[in-house]
Amino acid sequence: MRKKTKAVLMLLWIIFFYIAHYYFAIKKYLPMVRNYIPFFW
Amino acid sequence: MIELAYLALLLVISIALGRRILKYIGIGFNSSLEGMVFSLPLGLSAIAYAMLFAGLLGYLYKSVLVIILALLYIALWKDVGELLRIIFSSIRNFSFNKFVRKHDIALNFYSIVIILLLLFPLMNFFLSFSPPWHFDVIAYHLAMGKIYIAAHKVVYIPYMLFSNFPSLIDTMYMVGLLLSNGILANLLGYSLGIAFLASIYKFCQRFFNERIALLSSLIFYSFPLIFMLSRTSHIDVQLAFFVFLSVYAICVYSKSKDSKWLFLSAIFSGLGISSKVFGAVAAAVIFALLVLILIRDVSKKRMDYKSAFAKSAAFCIIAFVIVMPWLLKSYFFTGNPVWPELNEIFHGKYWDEKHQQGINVMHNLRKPSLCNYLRLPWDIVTQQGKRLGNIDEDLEIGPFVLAILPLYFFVGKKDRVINSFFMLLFVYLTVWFFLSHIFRYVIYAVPLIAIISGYVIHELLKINLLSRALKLLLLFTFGFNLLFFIGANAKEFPAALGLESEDNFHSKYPGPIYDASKFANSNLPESAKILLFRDTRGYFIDRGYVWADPLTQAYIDYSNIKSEDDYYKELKRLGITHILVNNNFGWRNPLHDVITSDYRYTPEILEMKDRFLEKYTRNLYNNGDILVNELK
Repeated sequence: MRKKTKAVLMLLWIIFFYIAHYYFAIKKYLPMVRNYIPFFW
Repeated sequence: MIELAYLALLLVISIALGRRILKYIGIGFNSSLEGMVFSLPLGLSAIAYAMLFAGLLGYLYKSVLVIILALLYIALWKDVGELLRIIFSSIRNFSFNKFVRKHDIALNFYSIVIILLLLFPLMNFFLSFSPPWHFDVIAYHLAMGKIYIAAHKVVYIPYMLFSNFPSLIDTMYMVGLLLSNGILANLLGYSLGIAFLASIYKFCQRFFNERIALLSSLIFYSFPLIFMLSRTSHIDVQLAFFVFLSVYAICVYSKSKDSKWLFLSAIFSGLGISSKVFGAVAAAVIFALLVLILIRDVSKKRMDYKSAFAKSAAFCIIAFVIVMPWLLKSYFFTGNPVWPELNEIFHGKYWDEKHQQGINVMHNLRKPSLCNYLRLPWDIVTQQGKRLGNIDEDLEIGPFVLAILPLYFFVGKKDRVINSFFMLLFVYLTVWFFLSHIFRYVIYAVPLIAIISGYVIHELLKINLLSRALKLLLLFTFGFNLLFFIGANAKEFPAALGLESEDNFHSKYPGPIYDASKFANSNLPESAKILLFRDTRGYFIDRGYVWADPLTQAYIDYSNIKSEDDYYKELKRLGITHILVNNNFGWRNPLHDVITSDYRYTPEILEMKDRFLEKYTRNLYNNGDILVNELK
């Protein structure tokens, strides 16, 4: 595989899991932020 | 601020004691900092063991601790002097220009990494001054030590499940409580967290390079799971620290073949098991890694079978000797050295099969299917498996497990240490899969994830096409974690900085249980013994108390209690004079989303409690959430 293609695929891989993680993380924390609760324990 | 003075004293004596022990073993380190990273936990553990023995003999007094510290200071005055000389000369010789040149400080990515690497620990340092209030801390981590201190003895607490487990770190916190207060205990936990951070840095410096060291350290300490737990009196981060030091020592042994590092690994494996039962899982895996290393050396004729056998036996014996005091304590109090495990063999006190099943369910809601196993990495990254019981909804560690770790197999340069870390990670997560759904219980996998991530990111940053985008993504992660840090801890900063009184703070965190405890302390006689019903947080209570929790204790056996009359008779037999009921507290089962469960406070028990309260008690206090009633 060409180096450029490999690099692009790796970047897309990283971005995909970044989106997955932060989508669910923001979904979890946003209600707390909206209620102005200093969230968590 | 007195806590700072006590902390400095404890740290200096612990490091000096640790250095003396390591000198006696004959281990040499690459740098003073690397030596200190091993010395601190070793010395602090030795002091904790000394106080454990003093407590078992009935000499748990502040004066005894002060005498022990004074004697240690006198015996170690040369080591203390040398240590202070090292610290002051490092400060004196620190040159900002040299530091800037060495780390290529400019307006660049690594400068931001260094700033954040200083910022997270600094903020956590201030937060360590926040009074303890988290659930597990005031239920048993500090509550246990407070009971021992009040009795001036390490006593059997039959209703407190966790008091009969190995609890080395809780004993360290007890030292903090004995010398000062819960804040000193927090600071001891924080100090071990900083030593952990430094150990990751030094490990990466030794085996890789400076940049991987910086990256891995920041990735590690900026995980919400780590920075939230490492400045409170929990034990998870400290357990992971001991396990990591054991792995560190095994890696150095593998390279240097110096057996003393093997002994050091065994010591820290033993200390890990002594901290938490799950440490035994980590120790077993580290031992398996050692056996593989020895088999490799035998196959390459670097050593004979006898030496390999002797070394593996030495590892087991050393770890066992370190753990033995906890086994003896448990045997002495319960009749079972590994209570509550294997109770069908040892027949230890106040435990049975039903309770063990309940605990097993509490620890592992997961169905052990292939699908659940394969989705583990996804659940660690997204926590979406919580509805299946595949993972709990707790503090997380970012996207690295899936975003970065798999890319190791596509970067050019492989490394033997990273290969072995992947093996360790695979085994840790596989064993954890069968034992628990609670991610915190496999926290010793987290430093490995951070170091592998640092290594892979360092390789990826060499690729021009990836470099800028990856740096932006990482800065986003660190910035997000920083925002989370501020949001999650904002409520504690005023109390931590002395702008809010401890009393005012505790009235909010934990709130009603603190107010009810204050009522009990001010109004109930000294001889009062309180049953804590639907709550276990007895830290603020200055009277005797007993947990009523049907799950975590068999001291009050609910299978023998059929009515409120039986309950009254049983409580009278145990000398209970009052009952504290938290009507608003429930342990929510994520699979069923109900307050009660069939293995904890069942509807029958709760209804029985209501009838009991009406027939046999008189209400003294009611703050809407919590009742305090006196038994007639």
